[in-house]
Amino acid sequence: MALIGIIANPASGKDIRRLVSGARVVPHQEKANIISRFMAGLASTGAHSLMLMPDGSGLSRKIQEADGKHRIRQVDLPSVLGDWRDTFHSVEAMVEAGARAIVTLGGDGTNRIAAKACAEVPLIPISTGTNNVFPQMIEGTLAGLAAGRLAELGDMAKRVCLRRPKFEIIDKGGDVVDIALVDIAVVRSGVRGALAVWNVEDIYSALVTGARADVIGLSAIAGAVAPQGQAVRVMLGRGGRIVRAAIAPGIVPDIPIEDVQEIAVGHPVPLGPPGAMLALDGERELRLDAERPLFARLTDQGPWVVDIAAALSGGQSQNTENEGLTEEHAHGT
Amino acid sequence: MVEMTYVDAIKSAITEEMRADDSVFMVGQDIRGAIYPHTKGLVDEFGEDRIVDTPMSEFGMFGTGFGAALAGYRPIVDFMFGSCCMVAGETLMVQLGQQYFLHGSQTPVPMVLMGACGTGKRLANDHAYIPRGEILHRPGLKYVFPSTPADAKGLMASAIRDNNPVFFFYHYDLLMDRGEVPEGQYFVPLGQSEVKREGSDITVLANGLMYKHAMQVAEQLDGEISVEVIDPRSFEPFDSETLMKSLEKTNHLIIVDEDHARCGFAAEVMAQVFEQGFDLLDAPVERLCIENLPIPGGYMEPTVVPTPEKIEAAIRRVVA
Amino acid sequence: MGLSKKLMTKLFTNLVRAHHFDELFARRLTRGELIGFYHPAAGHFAPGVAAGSILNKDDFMWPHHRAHGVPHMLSKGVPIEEFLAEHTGKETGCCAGRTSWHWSFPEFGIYGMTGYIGGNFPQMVGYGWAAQRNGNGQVAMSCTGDGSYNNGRAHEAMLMAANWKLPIIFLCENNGWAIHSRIEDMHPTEDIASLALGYDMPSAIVDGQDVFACAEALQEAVKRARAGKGPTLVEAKTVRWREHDIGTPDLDGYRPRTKEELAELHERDPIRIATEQMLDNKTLSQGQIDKVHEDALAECDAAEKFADASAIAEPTVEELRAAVYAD
Repeated sequence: MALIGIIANPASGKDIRRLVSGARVVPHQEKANIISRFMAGLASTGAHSLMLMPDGSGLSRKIQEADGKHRIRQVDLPSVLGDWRDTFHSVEAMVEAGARAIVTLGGDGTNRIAAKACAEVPLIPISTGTNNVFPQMIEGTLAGLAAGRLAELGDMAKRVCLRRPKFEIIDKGGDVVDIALVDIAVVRSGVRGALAVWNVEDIYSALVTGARADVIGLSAIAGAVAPQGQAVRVMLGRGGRIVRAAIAPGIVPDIPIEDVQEIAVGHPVPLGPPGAMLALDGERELRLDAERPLFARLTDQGPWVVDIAAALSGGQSQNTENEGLTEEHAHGT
Repeated sequence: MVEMTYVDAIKSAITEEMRADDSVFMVGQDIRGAIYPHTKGLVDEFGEDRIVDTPMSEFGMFGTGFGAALAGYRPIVDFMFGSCCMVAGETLMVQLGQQYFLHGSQTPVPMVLMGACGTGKRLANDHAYIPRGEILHRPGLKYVFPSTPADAKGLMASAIRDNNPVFFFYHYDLLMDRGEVPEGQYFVPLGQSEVKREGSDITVLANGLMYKHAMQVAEQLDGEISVEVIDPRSFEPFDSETLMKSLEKTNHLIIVDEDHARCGFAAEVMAQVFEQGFDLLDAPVERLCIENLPIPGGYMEPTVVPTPEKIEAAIRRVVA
Repeated sequence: MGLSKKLMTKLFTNLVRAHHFDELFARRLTRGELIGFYHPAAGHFAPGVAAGSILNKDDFMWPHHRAHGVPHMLSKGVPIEEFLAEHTGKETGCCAGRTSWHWSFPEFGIYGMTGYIGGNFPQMVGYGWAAQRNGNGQVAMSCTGDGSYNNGRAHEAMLMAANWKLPIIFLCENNGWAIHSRIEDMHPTEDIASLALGYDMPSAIVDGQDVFACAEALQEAVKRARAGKGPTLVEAKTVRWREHDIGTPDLDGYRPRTKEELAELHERDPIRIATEQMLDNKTLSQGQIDKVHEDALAECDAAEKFADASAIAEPTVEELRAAVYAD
């Protein structure tokens, strides 16, 4: 009987990208269905204790009413604010309560917040957002089975997890101001506005934790100019070559590339120009100020994420935790 | 002059006005396919942009007309059945009439609202009743109802040209009636009753199918009682002057109204006659209306509606 | 994405004006210097400012009942002093003093209103039809609250608009309350925007306390409409930190709303959120921001002087009778 946390971001998949691109629509009912399937999958591994992020929609209440097998409670938040703080404080509470895993329903943005608070607790990120580089397109039932496996493994859960990289946005003194799990876009924008980034002409540069030709978003720009998996900074601008990449669902524009630079772990990359905004994991967030220069520092000590294939097949993952373990250990409980 | 049916006369007016003014258009359900013959062929001449079929949404078709009228178009909203206008509820019964007046008389609503109605088909209340009393009670709404092909053409043309909401309801039973209609453009002004038969003993105020019944009775009584038949044609504005002039001559009045008696047009006219011409009366006024109950269908319909027999009996009573 | 400095300044200025005018109307009502009633903005005005600010003069708009549409209208360029005059029963009122609170500014595409919630939707279909028929890129913006989407007319209008691809933007300003009723109890789904799926219409949800976010979202919806791509439903999540209308108790069902809840709502202050960003992006200095407030207060002052100096509308019965029908 383990504690599993569920973060279902009611706001994911509903923003302006539905208008500026053909972004996927994930209605409320589908999120509830995913969670039902998750709980069914989890239930097949035993009865567990679940903690849900409360939300104004009644989604968590509906889940509690529908399920019979698990012991479910909501995180006791002082109030539901309807923004990132609900996610952050809920994850904190779940970690403190000893959760073995936290399943998230959302996109890159949701997971970025969860990653700020999840410490060493592995995430099971199910994709329901717009930009879904970090989470996986994984069927809810299988996610439930994977969560059950993590619960089973107890303190050895990391055997079937992978540690993802992240950017830390740091100031001159090295203090971490914020993080990004997938990408940082330096954009021309006066305001946070509707948060999303959809205009290539407004992007100065893009920094990605891993170039990916097989996803949508800024990582795809990197994927067109750098080897798969390589962390790079791409400077956009006239004067260089043109590539095409799917930067948003249904949007594959010509992208003018001025420069491509590898990013090494631990080496801070200066962010500029001053006055531009940083969009973290697809959402405009911070402004760059000449008086307070910021840098992006890549680390491989990001959040733990379940390796679904390993979890479900009884194998183990390629990670530092598993170095030196024998086959026997790997299959033990 | 040319002879045509009542329904063709309606179509004639619509056609002429749509040719004269690009901003006139029709909107409603199944107009292109001419569920009623008055729109047959219109889509071929004027195109789908101006003959508009809508989903089965009265708020939708009426709203299209209401908003478009405010924006400078001249819609004809065809509800198919007159009673269906009530499905558009408050928007029709409250907002429409108040729009121009309340908003400082700045935003006219030139709109025609039409639909077929009337008893005779024994289809029971919702298909039989003529919305009238309740509409006349609402300030800001004009209302006409033709009894003959010539009036059908003239009133429709005037309704379209009027810069206010005008209800143009017409009778199922009269659709195929034939009559002489002036060729070319023809207008019957709103607010103008017509003495359709001169007489000296009694005035009968009747419209639509009731007008037909009254004329039939007047013929039968010819030589015995001299019956003057006035067709109001326009209920709002209502021409009471013609009626008063008639009463100066006849001093006797019955009103035949194909609507429920209580708080209806007949009651209103009686009140106006008391206010304007009480001294002219030699006998109390009688009103023949539909019984105050939902109109039944089947073979019961004639029991609750005015018939030629009831009209004749009333005439005899009043002149006696 | 697409907000020029000029537009940001316009949005900010209109936001400040809307705030001060809201306070003006509320103050006058409380002092008995306004006829009828007033439904204060009280935190709920950024979506309207965004809507009015991005539209052209000839676009159709139905302003929201909240704050009597003042944020929407002043942002669209409407002379608010005439609206204040209407609220004080004066001849110079936009409806010749005949309504106490209705709007009517036809040259700005605002054609009057009804007090009944949902009464806007049928006309919106007509405005959308006219805009499409006119063929010049006009759009029609409908601004109503969460409660209005309980009404059947909203559904018929969305069906008509989506069916015909009318250039209508359905802006739902969801402040979570319909008088004393919580939207959670009155609507089966969390978001009003999810209705759009049923009509095959795109939708987006945006922070209704951030005028710039609202402007970005509405701009995209307007762009779609002008390009002939049909209607959009934009839901702005906003707040209402006062009672529904001044004088009515501020209840949650049948108990008062708590101080804690209201305090939380106050944190999402549109003026503070916008000011921080204007300073942060260096479009305006604090001095310039102060001037925006000063100018807005002066404008309010001038509007009051205009309304108070105007004569009370007292037509004779004959004059009223003559005004019922257009010639």
